[in-house]
Amino acid sequence: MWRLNETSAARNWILLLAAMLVTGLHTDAAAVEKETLAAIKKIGGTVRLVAGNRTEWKVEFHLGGRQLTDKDLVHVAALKNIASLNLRDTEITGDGLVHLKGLTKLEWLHLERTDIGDEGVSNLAGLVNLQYLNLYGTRITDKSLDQLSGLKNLKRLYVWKTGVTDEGVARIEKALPNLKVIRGVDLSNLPASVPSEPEKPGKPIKWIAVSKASEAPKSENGENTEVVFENKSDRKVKIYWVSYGDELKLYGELEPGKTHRQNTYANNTWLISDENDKPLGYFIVGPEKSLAVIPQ
Amino acid sequence: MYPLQFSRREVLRSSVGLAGLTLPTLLELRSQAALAPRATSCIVIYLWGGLSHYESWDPKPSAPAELRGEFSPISTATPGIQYCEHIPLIAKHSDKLAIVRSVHHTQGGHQQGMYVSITGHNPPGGVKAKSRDNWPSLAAMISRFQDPTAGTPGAIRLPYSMYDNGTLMAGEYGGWLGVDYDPVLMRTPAGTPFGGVSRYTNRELDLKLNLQKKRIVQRQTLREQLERPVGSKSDYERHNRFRRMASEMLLGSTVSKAYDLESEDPRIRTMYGDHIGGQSMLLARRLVEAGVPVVQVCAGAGDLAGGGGDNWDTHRGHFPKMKDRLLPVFDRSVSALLTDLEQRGMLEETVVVFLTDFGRTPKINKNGGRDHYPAVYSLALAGGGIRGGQVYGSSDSQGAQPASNPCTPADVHATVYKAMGIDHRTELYDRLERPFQVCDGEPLPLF
Repeated sequence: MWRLNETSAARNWILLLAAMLVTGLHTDAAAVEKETLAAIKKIGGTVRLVAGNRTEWKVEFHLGGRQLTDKDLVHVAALKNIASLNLRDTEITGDGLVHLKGLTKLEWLHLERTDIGDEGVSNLAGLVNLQYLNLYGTRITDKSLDQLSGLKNLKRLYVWKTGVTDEGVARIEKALPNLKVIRGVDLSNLPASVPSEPEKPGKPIKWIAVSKASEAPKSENGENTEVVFENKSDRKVKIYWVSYGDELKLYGELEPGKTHRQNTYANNTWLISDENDKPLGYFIVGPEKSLAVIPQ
Repeated sequence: MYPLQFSRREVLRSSVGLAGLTLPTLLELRSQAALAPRATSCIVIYLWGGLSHYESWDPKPSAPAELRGEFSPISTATPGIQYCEHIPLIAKHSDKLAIVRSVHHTQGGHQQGMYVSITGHNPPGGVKAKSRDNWPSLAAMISRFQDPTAGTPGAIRLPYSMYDNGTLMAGEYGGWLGVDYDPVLMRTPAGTPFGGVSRYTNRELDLKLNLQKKRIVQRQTLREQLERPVGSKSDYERHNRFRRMASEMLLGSTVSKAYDLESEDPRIRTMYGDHIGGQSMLLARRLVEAGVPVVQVCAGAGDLAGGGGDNWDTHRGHFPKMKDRLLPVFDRSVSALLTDLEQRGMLEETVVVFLTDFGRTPKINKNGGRDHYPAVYSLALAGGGIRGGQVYGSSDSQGAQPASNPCTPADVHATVYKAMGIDHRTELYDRLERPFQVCDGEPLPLF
């Protein structure tokens, strides 16, 4: 009995010791991780767990951390367990990619619109779990594609606005049959502007001078159209819509020499007053686009 | 991994009204919010007025002439899938699009149809636009699950609010989630306007995004206050004021840069088309790129105004209006958006969803139009891990009833939530602390 107890006690001690050791290690690892996370946050990164009950991290710098440089990537490298990394629009260069070499759990990698050329891309050749790689807007050429052609899991590769050619794309697509290379539109084939139709001038409508607002008739309903007010007087005026219920609704002020385009309905009345709300006159909008010139 | 101390900003964002403020709920939400890893953003394209399923995603070439209409189908990039002939550019992107041809609901009016389409719930009787008893829109609900410290508004709407003959419509707001979740309206700063934009939508003020330098300093102080942990001093009565100022502050940086369409490559701008419809899609892409989690675009004139303007409520002269005014802008802007999201590598992480009030009647009326028809119609999705080049469900040979896999707008919402890694069964509490599930639908098998 006693011996048994002794054995049992010893075993308990060993278990306890082991538990302490594990907890201690765990605490150490947790402390290091905590420090690394804090360092990443400090340089503008966001860190979250990848969605879907997974234990890998998703790290992003493309919104709050665009000032990220090559040397900052050591903090990212220290976190190791990263499945998704976004470095879009950051200050990194091809030299910085050496820090990504050990991030073999990476599945998604955004490097678009950074100063990367063929020189750093060889560091990505060992990221065997990559499924998504975005290199659009970088200086890479076909040489980079050749270096990536061993990434068997790669499904999407983005190379718009880079130096890659038809030949390079054909080579990597042959090497990786599951890969789709997205090249984007050929900007040199796109026009910079479309000739717009010359705008039709409005049909002039009659100015009816009044001194009292009550002299302006209330609006009648009609089809939707447009009126352009042009202030040819030498003072600032106010534009009021006379509503169907005979109220005045202020729509804006118009400086001398300026025009204002206003959506309206045909048969609507628009009253013009001076800055002190003294009525000057009104317009009734016609069925088509109207030009309402406020006279001197 | 989450600190047990929450900044004021997080608390402000997390509360559903003031009564719903509990930290366990927040923690729970965060743990539940992880499902699928793909989409981080969403673009909701809303076709206000009711897009005809015949003249878009579900042509019926073998239906009798009085039903099938004047247009023919065309082949798409996906063998076996046909669209209407007047969206030839979108047809080239069929490999990115999942078309759902069996959506149905029971709401025949614009307000009601829009409400169920955009919130996923039938409207109460006497629904009012400003009521906080309304269900949140899809965009508002998505913004509810976003990182509140990201430095952008949670949701933005472009370029108009929805009106019906001058009456502001309910449904596209935060509803019982509270004012903090009302998507912010921005006016697209460029492009030929839709015809028939009424004075109601025109009257909405443009957001002024230019910040004066001296005010930035004040905003930084404000930001510090917002980020200060909630302590013994509670300032809940200042809640709304803080939120407003915070929104203003957040609009100051990345969002205002995205808003500046002049800084976009003119060739890309041209690709989207010189129309507010296209420029709004471009702006949506730029906002998503700047980190805004969800952008809703009203793809048509904001006011139905009796069907006179460029909106999808085509009771009269349906065919010429679709062919000459509506579909060309839609085709160009949507195809440009898909091209652009794809070439930037954003489509994998951005779910694009097309919503509309309802479909249009099989029978063409005496005015050459099609009327409201909720019994079956089509919606579409792209990106965010959704498999393109597929059609889910079908309507019968006349486009009058679902023939297979009938589904509802709520199912389409649940699909979007799934793409975004949001558990649609998550319980939220309204202002009276009543529990609600985020969405009553079930995700469609489109992944």
